[in-house]
Amino acid sequence: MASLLKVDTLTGVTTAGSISVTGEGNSTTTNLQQGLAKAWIHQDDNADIRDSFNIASLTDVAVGKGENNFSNNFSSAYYSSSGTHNDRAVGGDMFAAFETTETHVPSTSSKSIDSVYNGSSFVDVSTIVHQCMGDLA
Amino acid sequence: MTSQLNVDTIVDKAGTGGTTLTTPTITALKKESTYTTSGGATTQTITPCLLKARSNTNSAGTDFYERFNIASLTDVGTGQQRHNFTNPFAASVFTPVASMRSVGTTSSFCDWAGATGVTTYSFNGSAYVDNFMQVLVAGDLA
Repeated sequence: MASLLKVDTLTGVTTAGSISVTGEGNSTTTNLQQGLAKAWIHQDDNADIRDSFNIASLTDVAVGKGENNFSNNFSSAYYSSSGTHNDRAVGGDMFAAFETTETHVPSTSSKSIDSVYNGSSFVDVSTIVHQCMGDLA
Repeated sequence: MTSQLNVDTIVDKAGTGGTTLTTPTITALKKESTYTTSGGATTQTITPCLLKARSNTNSAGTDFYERFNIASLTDVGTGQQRHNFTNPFAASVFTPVASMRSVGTTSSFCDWAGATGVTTYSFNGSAYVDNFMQVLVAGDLA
């Protein structure tokens, strides 16, 4: 029988921050908290947030270089993230680079995101999207 | 008007069969469990929304900074790391994305390695080169 449970907060019994979820194939379980994206953003050229979650603000460091500052910090500076950049006007061989040694070291409170053009120069782009996964503090 | 009843026990009309009220506990969510969306207009099943694996590795492809549902790494070759799942996916096609953690002339991409892993690549246009890699994986577990 299906039931409707109305709650505002889910907390694990054995461990507050750990709730099991049955996998699609029924043969294993995954973890609710581990599977959630803890921060994501859709932004333009490191200045304006179009949509976001757990992003408090942006810091425009320099052309093609920015930092996303979290509302709630991660517990470790080494979480996992991925994303993509896009700008048809710029074109060329462009990609996203995270935590570059030139601008930033891994941090629990912010994420460095750079846009690299043709592997040699930094450039502002029209669209940056990325997600961060890991353990919150 | 909303009301609040504070009671410790509910009993039937006969005064027997009492049920002590306790805070309900949830130990696991079924795969069919849903949640109401942020906009409140619909519901969505929780399980497929969850990313099922992730990792953040060193440039040599020999160790993790952080991981979930990744049991081990296989150094396939220079600039090529296979991330082996602890719990495999239901099919050999799922949805991984990868990014690197340094700047230079390289770009990154990834590919499936059957239902049990994903391989990330760091390529500079002419050769694979070692790089810090991060991979996020979505899809259905077995």
